[in-house]
Amino acid sequence: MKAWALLQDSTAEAFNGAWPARKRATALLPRVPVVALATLVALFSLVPLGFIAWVTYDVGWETVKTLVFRPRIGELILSTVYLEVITIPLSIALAVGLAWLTERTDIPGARLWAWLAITPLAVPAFVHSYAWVSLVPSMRGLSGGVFVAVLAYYPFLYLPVAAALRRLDPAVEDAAASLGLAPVAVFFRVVLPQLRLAICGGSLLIGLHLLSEYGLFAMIRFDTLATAIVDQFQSSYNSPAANMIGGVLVTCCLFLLALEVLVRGNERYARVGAGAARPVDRRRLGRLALPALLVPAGLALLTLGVPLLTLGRWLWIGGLDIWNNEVTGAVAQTIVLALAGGILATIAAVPMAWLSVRAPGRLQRLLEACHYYVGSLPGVVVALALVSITVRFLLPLYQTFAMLLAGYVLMFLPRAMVGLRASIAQAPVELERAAMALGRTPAQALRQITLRLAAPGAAAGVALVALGITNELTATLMLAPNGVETLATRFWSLTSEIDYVAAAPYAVMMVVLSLPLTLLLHAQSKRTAGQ
Amino acid sequence: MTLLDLETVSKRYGPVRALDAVSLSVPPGSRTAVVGPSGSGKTTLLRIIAGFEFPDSGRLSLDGALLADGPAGVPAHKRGIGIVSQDGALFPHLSVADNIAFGFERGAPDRASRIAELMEMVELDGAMATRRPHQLSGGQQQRVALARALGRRPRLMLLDEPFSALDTGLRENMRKAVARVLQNAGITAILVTHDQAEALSFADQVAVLREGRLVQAGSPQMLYQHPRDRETALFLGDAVLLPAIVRNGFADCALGRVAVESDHAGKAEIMLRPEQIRVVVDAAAPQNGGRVVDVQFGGAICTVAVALADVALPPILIKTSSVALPAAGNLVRLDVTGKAHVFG
Repeated sequence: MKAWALLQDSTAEAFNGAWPARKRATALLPRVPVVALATLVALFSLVPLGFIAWVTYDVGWETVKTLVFRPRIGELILSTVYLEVITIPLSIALAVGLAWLTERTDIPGARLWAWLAITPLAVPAFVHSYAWVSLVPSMRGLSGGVFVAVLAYYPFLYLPVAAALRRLDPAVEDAAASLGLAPVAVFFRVVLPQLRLAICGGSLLIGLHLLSEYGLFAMIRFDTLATAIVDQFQSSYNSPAANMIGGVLVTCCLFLLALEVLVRGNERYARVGAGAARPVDRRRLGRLALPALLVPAGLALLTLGVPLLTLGRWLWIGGLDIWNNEVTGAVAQTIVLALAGGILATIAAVPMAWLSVRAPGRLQRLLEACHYYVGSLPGVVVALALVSITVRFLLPLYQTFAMLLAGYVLMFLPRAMVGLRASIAQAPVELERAAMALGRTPAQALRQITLRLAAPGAAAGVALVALGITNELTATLMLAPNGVETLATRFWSLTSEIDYVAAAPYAVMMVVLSLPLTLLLHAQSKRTAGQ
Repeated sequence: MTLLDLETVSKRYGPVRALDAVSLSVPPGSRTAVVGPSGSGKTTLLRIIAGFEFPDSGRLSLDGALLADGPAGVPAHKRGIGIVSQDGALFPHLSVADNIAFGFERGAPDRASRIAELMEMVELDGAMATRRPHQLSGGQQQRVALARALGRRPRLMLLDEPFSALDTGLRENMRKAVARVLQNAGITAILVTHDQAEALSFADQVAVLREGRLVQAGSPQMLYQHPRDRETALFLGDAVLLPAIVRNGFADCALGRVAVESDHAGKAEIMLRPEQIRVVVDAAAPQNGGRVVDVQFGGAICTVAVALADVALPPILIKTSSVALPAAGNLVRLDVTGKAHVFG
């Protein structure tokens, strides 16, 4: 789930012109060392991409041709494309429909359904497919992959679309009605176009997840580029074949990112004009209320009911015996890893977050782009790069905690950035100046004012990264030292042995640890909408 | 002859009575201003006329055709009533030209020429056609909103505080421009505003709303000079309110004997507009005068506070020109021109 950063951007930036107006502030900290640190992190975040480029150059064009231009890669690309072009439109339709029901109609229990629409995010995607495979063992291939992917990922669209619907100015819809448009026409000609940014952002997120997800598709035996890389990797650690598929995968990611920029265009759908918007009217459903209830209720059953049901069943079968010391050990290891990764990623993000608020400029934008792009790279590619580099050049570091944590920092850097940047922006330089005018040294002012105000954001960043690490599977599988078992990897090895009963406690613990993230996301999106 | 007719229209939101039996008729080609403090129900009234809401009871008809009878009626998109709202409510995803053409019939053959015509009508530069709403100033946005509403050739145009988001100078400009455009197009208009000066200068008919009730409706002069009660008097402008004894077309009050236009007899409260009172420095300490307690210099218009002699009333505030301005402590005479208004 590299969702956090992008989601924040697609909800916040699109609708309130993002951060408070940045002033060009003369920095109080010496700028050069901060820029140097930020540059160092940016260079480090270029490692995976640089690795792919270097490997492609290193093996030579002939090898690239034989490894990439073969039917197997064609099949993989084709199935990935099918997956994307079927899953994304279905998710859009589902998310927009559901968001409209919960935000713009008087459907009974709208708030409850809104919460239930977000909650599937607390269930890791591979736990979703575990639940479905244990319920319907014959679930296989593209149709199964699309089905589970829609259920697992549609909240990524629901969240920004619902936030956007809440923020739309109802006066605009009134204006359309006064210009002679019937309600259905108002929805398609006025409401839907204004949701474009939210839909673009959410679709990009889902698209990237589909590209990088391993567990979900491996579980139902649907081959994508990502699963193929892991398979290759497990047969030989530093194979040019895996690296080349990695190159293809990265190309797909960059293509998606470019496509989103293109579709989104240079749009700004902010509310025009001043004054507070009237709260939106909710459409009366009348006799349609009952049939309308079937949509959120049915969806909640599929996305939450089925995982809860299967997990509950396995837990029942397993009884108390499956809650053994191994579960406790995995919980402890997961928490330690998650917190260490969270703190490291947040520390790594500090120089850039500080620069982007206090000293914006062209160099800052370039460095910031480096920090953000790496979050949209699949975990497999990050892991592949780190493994290959350590094996070739830094063998003592191979399969160490340091490399695992480095992988986490790369994957979750954007999450740490978002919270930090927002909270540093809450501590304007004027406050530091005021503190100095009252007799504090620059260092004291920084410590007592800025760091104090930025602390909640930093804490939120640590928590978000930590929760991301808790549910991370692919990179952990590839990078973890021997003997390190997180909840996700232990769950994975047990399900690979078809020991669904023993795997259940690990899945439950992941869901339990993930719930706070979900609640935080929902609260955040409400606050973005000014509620 | 009426174009729009409201008969005892009422609307409640829970315990709040937003509109209480409001009746109003709007003649064709006229400009009506509905004015009232915030929370008086004026926006609700406008939304009911537009069809965004329906009354709980009462009838609403346009040109003889029934638009609403209680909670049933014609929906907004079938009414053919134009509306320009506070901040224009332009479609943020469409260009200026597409905004203006939004209400045209599909595939209108003369689309381009009509857009150009409408833009010219509202005095917008044709080069703006390709811009987006957020690239326009507040005044330009309002012009686009007006052109967009005019494009449907409505019989009635509703203006929902369309000038309140603009700067003072621009506001007056826009008000005149809008009045001119509507006049030329022969479109009846209803303006909702909380700004009494705007209402008085824009409309031929002013309707004052307070707490959901229509207090008084009439021409601006009539309302200004003959308000029904003191709240209305004070809402429409500064006023000097004095207790008096009225007899035979005259009132005896702290300012001496003042002519009134009323056959009322006995005790009453009378109202004078400050511009009816002239402050003259007169050391003779006359009966109809007092002592200046404060002078606020304000350029063209200065305010003089006069404590009346022998009366336990707060000092009265009089607006006067800066020529021959008295000083604090001066004894002054207050001469009244015109007639006073008697409440009741």
